[in-house]
Amino acid sequence: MPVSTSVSELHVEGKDDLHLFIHLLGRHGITLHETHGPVVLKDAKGNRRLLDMLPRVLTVSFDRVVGFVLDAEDSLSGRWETIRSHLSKIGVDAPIEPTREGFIGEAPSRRLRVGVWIAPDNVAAGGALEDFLRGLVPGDDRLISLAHQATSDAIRAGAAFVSTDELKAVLHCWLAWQKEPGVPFGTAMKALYFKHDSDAAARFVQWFRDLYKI
Amino acid sequence: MLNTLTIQNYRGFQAFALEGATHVNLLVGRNNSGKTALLEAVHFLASGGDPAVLQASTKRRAEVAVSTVEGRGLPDMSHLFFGHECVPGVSFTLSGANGTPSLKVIVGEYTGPAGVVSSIEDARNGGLMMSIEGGVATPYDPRAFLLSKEGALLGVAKIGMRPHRFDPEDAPAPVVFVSPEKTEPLSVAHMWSQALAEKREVEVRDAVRILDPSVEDIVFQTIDSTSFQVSLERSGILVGFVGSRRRVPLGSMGDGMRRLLVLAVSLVRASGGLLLIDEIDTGLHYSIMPKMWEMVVQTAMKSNTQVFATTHSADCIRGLAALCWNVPDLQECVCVHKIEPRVGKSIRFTGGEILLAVEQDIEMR
Repeated sequence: MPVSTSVSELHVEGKDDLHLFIHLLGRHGITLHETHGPVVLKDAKGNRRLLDMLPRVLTVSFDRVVGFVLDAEDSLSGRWETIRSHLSKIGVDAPIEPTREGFIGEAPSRRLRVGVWIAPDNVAAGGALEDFLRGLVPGDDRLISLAHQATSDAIRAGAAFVSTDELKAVLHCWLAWQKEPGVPFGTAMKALYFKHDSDAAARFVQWFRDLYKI
Repeated sequence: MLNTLTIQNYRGFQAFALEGATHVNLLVGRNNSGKTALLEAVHFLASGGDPAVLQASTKRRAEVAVSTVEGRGLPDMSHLFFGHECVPGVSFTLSGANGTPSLKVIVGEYTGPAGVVSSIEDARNGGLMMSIEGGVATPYDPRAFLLSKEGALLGVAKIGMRPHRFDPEDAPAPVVFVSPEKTEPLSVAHMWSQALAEKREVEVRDAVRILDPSVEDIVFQTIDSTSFQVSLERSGILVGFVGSRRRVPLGSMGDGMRRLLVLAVSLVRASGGLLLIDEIDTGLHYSIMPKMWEMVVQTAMKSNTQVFATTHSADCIRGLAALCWNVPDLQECVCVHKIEPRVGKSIRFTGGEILLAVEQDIEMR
């Protein structure tokens, strides 16, 4: 249960997330193609849009496995509460607190399995994909502290980004100093700039395997 | 207009409701989810309980029981009932809202005069009666039919199935069922002749012109089909194009054009009533879908015709979304219903929601 007769889907917030997961899972021996599967990855083109479409996707899903990866943003518990209420409407029971290993639940009457991963790691009170990625910067890397420093200097000098995007700026700054400067997250994962085996990444990959039985 | 349909024990539906139907309704869902069964249920309900509708449904599906004694195939009514079970006491009911009279079809033991069944060996061995209750009363009431104990319809003269014959004044609004089969008997030619007789051929031409503005006219040619064996359903229909010196036989134009003409002529035929189209996208290229929907929705709105159609095609849904985008006023006239018997109720998408779901690449099917 469930025996999938439809193509399984993983819904993510954006293109960066999509390519990052394809290459992260690839480094763990799971070969995925964006449209050919075995799990079809769908880019919601924005975190708001993913939250909006989540209940609609759940309502129409039968005989398949559907996963969602969303950012906790400023509140893990708030985000989880919203998702939990959508899950209960289609008969999927979910615990009050998000699970560290990522959520997997079933709606037997629909032969549907649903998975939810709240980035970065289902544990941090807030955060996003960038926090997940920060954990994948090699521990002995000397450039990352320089990138933090440079970004702080840039803020003081009047950089335009909002404070919640600071880590994103740090990571892109760090990526600008790699062998091929300025590649996106997915390409950087493929090029081994990022490592693939942080605690959160290992749990994410295991969640993916358990959800899709891969 | 049928707004709600409630079903109990009919085909794959133990209990099911389709709510919030609009002028044009597209039914989607996996194979064997019951989309065609829903069209047939709507058809039967709208016909006022015409037994010929049930018989046509079993015929279309080739549901045949072989008579043990006579050795010939007979329509098998058992599949109309949930669980394919036809024993005394089973029944199915269909009801609508807006004053549409409900229907109940009940199976009981045969208790009629022995003389009537004496000629049918099957019936001697514990025959059944199937009765249609409710709907629109006819001079043939009670509508009761003899079945073999397995559910085969024993079509004998005295109590065989007959189509309804309504007084013209009592006749319900027209109902047209378009199946995906190419061999729907004489449908195009027959409906086209009716359109001609009623001087409505211009409406058909106008509907086809939404799709292809270069169509100048459509004419019906008289052919002596006894001397020249042609496919009857395609015979005699010629299409003229602006600037072309010759009219082209419909049969030479490919399945797509024929299908579009079937849709156009059916829309005119069903005017003011109900049009049921199984697999509306059959034979159509994806690029024509938005235009096809424009023709269907605009013609249906103009003639106050309610449409129920089915599809498996994502392009067909995208075409409907394109219409919702291009003509926002039509959004409230259309909806998609996902049919899934397990949830007991159709999952409905309004015009605006269809647009959003297609934009967000949500798999509605």
